[in-house]
Amino acid sequence: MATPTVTVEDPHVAAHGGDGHHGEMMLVGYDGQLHPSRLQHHFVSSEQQFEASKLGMWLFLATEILLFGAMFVAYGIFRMLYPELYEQASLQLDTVLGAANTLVLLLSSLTMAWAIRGAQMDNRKVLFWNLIATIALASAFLVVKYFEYGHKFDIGILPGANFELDAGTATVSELGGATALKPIVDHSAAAAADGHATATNPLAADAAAGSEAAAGEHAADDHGEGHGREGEIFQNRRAGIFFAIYYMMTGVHALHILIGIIAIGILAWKASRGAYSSVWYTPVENVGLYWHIVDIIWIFVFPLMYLI
Amino acid sequence: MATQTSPRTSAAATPALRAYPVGHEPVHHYLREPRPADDVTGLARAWAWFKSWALTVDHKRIGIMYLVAVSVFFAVGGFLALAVRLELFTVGETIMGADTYNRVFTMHGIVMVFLFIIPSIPATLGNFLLPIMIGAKDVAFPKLNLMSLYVYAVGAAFALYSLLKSGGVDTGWTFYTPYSKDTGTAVISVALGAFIMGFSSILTGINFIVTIHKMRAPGMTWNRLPLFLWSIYATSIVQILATPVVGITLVLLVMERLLGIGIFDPALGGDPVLFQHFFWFYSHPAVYIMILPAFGVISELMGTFSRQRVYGYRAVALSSVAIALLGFLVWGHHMFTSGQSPVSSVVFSLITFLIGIPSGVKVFNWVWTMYRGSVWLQTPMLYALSFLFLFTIGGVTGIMVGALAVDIHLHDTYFVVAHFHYVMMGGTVFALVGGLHYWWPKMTGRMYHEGLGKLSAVTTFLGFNLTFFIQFIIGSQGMPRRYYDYPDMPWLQPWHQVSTVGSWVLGLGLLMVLANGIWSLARGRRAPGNPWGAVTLEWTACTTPPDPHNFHHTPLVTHGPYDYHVLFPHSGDGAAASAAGGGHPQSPAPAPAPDTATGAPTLAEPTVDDGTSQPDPIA
Repeated sequence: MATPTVTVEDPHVAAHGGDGHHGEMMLVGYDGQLHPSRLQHHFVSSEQQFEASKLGMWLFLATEILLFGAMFVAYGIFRMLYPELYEQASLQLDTVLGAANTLVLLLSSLTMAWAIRGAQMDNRKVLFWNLIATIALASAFLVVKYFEYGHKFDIGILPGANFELDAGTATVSELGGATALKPIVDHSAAAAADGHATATNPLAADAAAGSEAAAGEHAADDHGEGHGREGEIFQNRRAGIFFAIYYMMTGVHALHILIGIIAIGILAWKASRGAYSSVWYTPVENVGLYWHIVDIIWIFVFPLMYLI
Repeated sequence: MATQTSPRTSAAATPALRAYPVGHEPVHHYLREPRPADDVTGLARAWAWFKSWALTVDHKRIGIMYLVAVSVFFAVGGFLALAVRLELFTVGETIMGADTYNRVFTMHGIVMVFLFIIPSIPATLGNFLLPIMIGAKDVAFPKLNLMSLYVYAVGAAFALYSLLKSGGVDTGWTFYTPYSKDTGTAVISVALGAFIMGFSSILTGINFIVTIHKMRAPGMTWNRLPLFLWSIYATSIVQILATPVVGITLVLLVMERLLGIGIFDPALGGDPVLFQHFFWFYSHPAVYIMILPAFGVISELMGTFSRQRVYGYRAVALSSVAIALLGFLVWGHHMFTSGQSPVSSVVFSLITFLIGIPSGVKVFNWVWTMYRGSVWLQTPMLYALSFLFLFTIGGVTGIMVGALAVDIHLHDTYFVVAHFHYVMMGGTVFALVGGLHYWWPKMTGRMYHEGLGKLSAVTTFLGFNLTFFIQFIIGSQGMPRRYYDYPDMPWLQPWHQVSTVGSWVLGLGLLMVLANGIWSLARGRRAPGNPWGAVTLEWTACTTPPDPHNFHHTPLVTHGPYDYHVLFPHSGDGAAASAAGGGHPQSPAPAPAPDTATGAPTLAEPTVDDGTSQPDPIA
């Protein structure tokens, strides 16, 4: 059994597996030697353990990129297939709320980085309150998202087959599967020919009849809340596709935010009990990395969905 | 500097105060005996034994649990395969109708791909051997390792739930839309199961890459890494980068069924070919998840049982990585007939051919390893030679179906079925079984029955060729895959019957492998420390079977993984042999084969004191 009070000259030197920091909790192992208390048995030193954890986290982040990458590809392909759909549909997204959320997330990344700095500086207050601030900002993001979603659900903007078209608009399925997929070539040829891809797309022709006028009209109420079922998108038979991608991307992203809130919550709870110090703050560092990737993904989702 | 400004870290002030109170010190359990104490009896003993497995973070036990799991699923998938073959025995309905047949071949594919072959070698042999081979005490994240096993179990349960719900699914293992959206069978549970098992695969991959990068023993340079680990490393890259894509694809498929999101549904303006792109972006690299570890096993077997260095070590090592990377760029060759643009098809076809280069590098190097070696025909080597023969056929026919014009004719025929069974079964399964024989003494401490082992190797080899070589012929005659009947081609019936009989022979051979394993556990001879005279760390620096913490002292690696002359310094004097032209230029003559009853001479590997040395738990 371990003896707690062992006095050695300096238990924190590398020979004992320490990382050179002072004040590190040391334990006596079965071999009778001192080991840093946080050092797992299969690692040689605290540095090795820290670097292994961090590399593992980076690899996990790579999988996150690929996970969202597939949805970005879907976004790009359908944008290429149906450019007019994206123009019409993105007008339904609230740019102000989206921009506000972007700011909120950027700020939360700052507080997260600050929290890590707090751990490195052994400043428990900075660590704890920045973690709390990060949670608050992340929750604010979800609240805004809740109102965005709620508004869309109210006016019938639902993904895929459930999108509520204006009365009298034929759905794609009524047109028959054969006409549903428009060859890409026609789009690019038409766009190159006269620069009005939307107007020359036969499938959107009826909806795009007054596209010039309608676009100008919508530019006015593009921002701010309160726009209802206005816009050509409600006559576009493929509207469901855009909003399927929108809901999937923002939904999976929101799920990541939620997981982040839980993880940071656990960190904050443990930080309040003094679990982290400059000697050992691996979980704070790794959750921070995770939080930044969630932020970065939003940085790409926001302009692609809301702005262009 | 920054830390010194904080009063909390002042060294002089606190070191003694920061110790735990007496009696509350956390206990490091890593040296706990793996079996319950003697005074624990009855149910309590059974419970303790159960916990010692269910809660273990020991990579060796996790590997063995994975081995049991994949063996069970291999048996399930195998019986489904026998049912498929039996149905094709005669023209017309033999034992089941078309709907049942669709479910049976689909479940065969799903069980074999997702439940068996993806985790087969990496999660069993890889888990067991990887830390030992690099001189580490465990993988970098032991708890994640255990979690991957449970995640895998949950995913498998989801996948098999479909059997209860609707008697399996009938989409084929590829879940192509829009049929997978419309079919009445339980696609959601299988798709979620595959999604969940993907997490398990990712966790294993992350664990392996970090372990290889960060936990190698002193002296274990990248150029001394056993080739098995190079291939595991390449496999892990694929697992990490490809699996998330199929994950989100399957989620989208589930959403398609639940909410009708329409992305893959042409009726809503979606694109079903996009599903195929997404699916094969994972599933083609996934075939390299399946075959690359097999390459690694074969490299080990070729070296050890030829008794000389693996020829072209670096070429073999880097070709694994090359295959892993090129493998990401060829998915479109599954879609030559799906209406993708001719330009894409040509490019995909070209890159597919390029994969033949690193694969060829491997095959030629293995052959050259045997050249003027002292080839030792133990059971593992018989499986390795079978692999060499079968994989070459599988690989070359892969190039054939990768050629555009040929593929138009052969697409979705039994030719393709035969091709991938030659690679997956003739490649991966033979390598797995060969590797199991090779490392069986290390894993269990028992020798298997050599005679029965050789008999099983010959039987499986014959049965396999009988089953699948025929399918090249019936495929080129136009027999489509996934059909339960061939009324228009009655002349194929004798061929089908030969193939079916072959499947029985193959099944018999695999049963012999199982019987051999069970016999060995019950009656097998105690294995010597190094029965094959190999020089990778698991044989030279580690007890048999390995201690819970692998090494008492971290080994100091001073030789390459195939430097057999360190064990046999007096075998074939190097200079004279190379002057006489024996063996490879500038290398000693092949090492002699040791007696498997006594094993190779022991080698006292040097060790380093890095502060992690452990006392012998028995002492």
